Amino acid sequence: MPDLGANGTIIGVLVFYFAVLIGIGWWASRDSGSVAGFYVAGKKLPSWVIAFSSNTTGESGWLLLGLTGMGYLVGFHALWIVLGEVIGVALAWSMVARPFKEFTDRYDAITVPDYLADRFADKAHTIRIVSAAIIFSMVAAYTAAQLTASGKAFSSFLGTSYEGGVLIGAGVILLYTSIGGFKAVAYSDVLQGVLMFLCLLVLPIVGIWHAGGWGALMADIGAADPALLRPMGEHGLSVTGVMSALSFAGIGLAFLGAPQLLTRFMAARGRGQILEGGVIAVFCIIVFDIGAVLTGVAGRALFPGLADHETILPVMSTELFPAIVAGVILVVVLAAIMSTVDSLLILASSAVVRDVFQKVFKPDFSDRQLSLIGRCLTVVIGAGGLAVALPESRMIFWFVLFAWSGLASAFTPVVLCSLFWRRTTRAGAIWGMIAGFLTAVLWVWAVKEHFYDLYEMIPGFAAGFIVTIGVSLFTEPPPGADAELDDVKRVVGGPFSAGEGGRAAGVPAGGGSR
Amino acid sequence: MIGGLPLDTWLLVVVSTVPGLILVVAAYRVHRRADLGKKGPRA
Repeated sequence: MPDLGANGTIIGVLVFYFAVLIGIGWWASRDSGSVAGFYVAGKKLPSWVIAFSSNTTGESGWLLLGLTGMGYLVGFHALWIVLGEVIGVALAWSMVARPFKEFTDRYDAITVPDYLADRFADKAHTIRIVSAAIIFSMVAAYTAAQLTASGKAFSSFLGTSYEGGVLIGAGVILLYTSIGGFKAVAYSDVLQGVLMFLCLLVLPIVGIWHAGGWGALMADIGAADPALLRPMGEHGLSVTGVMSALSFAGIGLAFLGAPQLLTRFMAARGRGQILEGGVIAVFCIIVFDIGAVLTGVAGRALFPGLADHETILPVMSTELFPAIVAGVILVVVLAAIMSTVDSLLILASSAVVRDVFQKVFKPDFSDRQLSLIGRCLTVVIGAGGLAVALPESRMIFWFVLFAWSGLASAFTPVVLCSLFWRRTTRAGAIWGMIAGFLTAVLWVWAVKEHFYDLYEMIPGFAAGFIVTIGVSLFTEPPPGADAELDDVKRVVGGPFSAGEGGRAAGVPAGGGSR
Repeated sequence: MIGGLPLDTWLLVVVSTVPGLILVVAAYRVHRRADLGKKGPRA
């Protein structure tokens, strides 16, 4: 634990960083006066911003505390997480992003429920209401998990109470998110992503160096437990080992359709930005994930026997670096937490203001009034997450992944079917969302511990796909939906075939007009 | 063993990283040429 002088240095770095974030919020507030400005930054973001914003939103405090901790606990078995995430990110950017961007631009959609409602001509607003309920409940859990990480980070680095750490983190995030909206979130994500990238590049190198080099590290780890070096871990090629590898790899499925990530594609300036963004995003995620696993492995050799393996990164930072660097690393941990919480708050706020308030109740409010309601809601939702996080410090790795799977199981199967399968119907989409979400939640509650601890995302996805396809086969898609899908495919092309560009004459733009 | 790490672990490292990179670079090359040719750099 650092001494008082070191604490002063760390706090100084922290105050500077918070001031920069609030400055970004103030700068971005000039463009957040309208609903589209507040929630998708007017769809004007360049490739490097959407790439970093997508990665930092997807990764969160889970990457720096949870994944480093998992590397510490299971060694190179954690590489299955890298496999799932890299493939998930690559497929999302190369296959999902371009048609999704084309559809949402045609519909002038600014949220994922907006897109689904237009795609399936949902005049009864059922898709919007179901989506808003799922997003609201999962964002509360997700935010609480990130604030838990904030509490652990502050108590590990500065020796504050867990509750104090949760409150400080929540206060800063709510301030700059409610001021600046999505533009502040996206640009602060870039700063936070660069910091995370540098941290996860430097930390494993320093850790390996302190362990006496790569050969000595491998020898130490192998002597402590040979299973830490093997890809299938302690269970080997058994059913339990395979289920564990599947669970880890399954984490990456969410990148294909989680609404907080799809929003980044919507906010891109154009399809060309998505192409460049994909290359940046995959390169970054490789550095993020491999860096985190290696940090945990090096930490296992340097600091064996930690009571809480998720504190390995703060322990390495304070023990291996001078106070000012430890301060910067604390900032990086908080950056990872904040880059996710701010995006979730915007997501939940948009689900209520845009999808329920503006589209269902249709009040006679100006854009500026709706944007103001969005800001107030952001604070209310953050306070809800705070109420869940404060009473109990849970394990970050699985707490984050529960909320991650709830959102992704509800939306990803439906979004993928809507983009690639012409027979998808409104009823299929609604029941698919409900089935995916409920399966993920019920799996954790009643089945998971009796079935090899299989990660809830896998049954959630299976249920989402089966129900979406099954119900769609017995119902009719909206008229013109297949022609529109064909036209989007013609315009954007496939993953490895170029599109023709330009919408065909006579093809409807937006399901609402069908 | 290579560098103290079993061969199958190195294989997992390669499988985890290389296909994803190939996928996005290939998509970039195919679509970039088409987008630039038809609609300019902001397509």
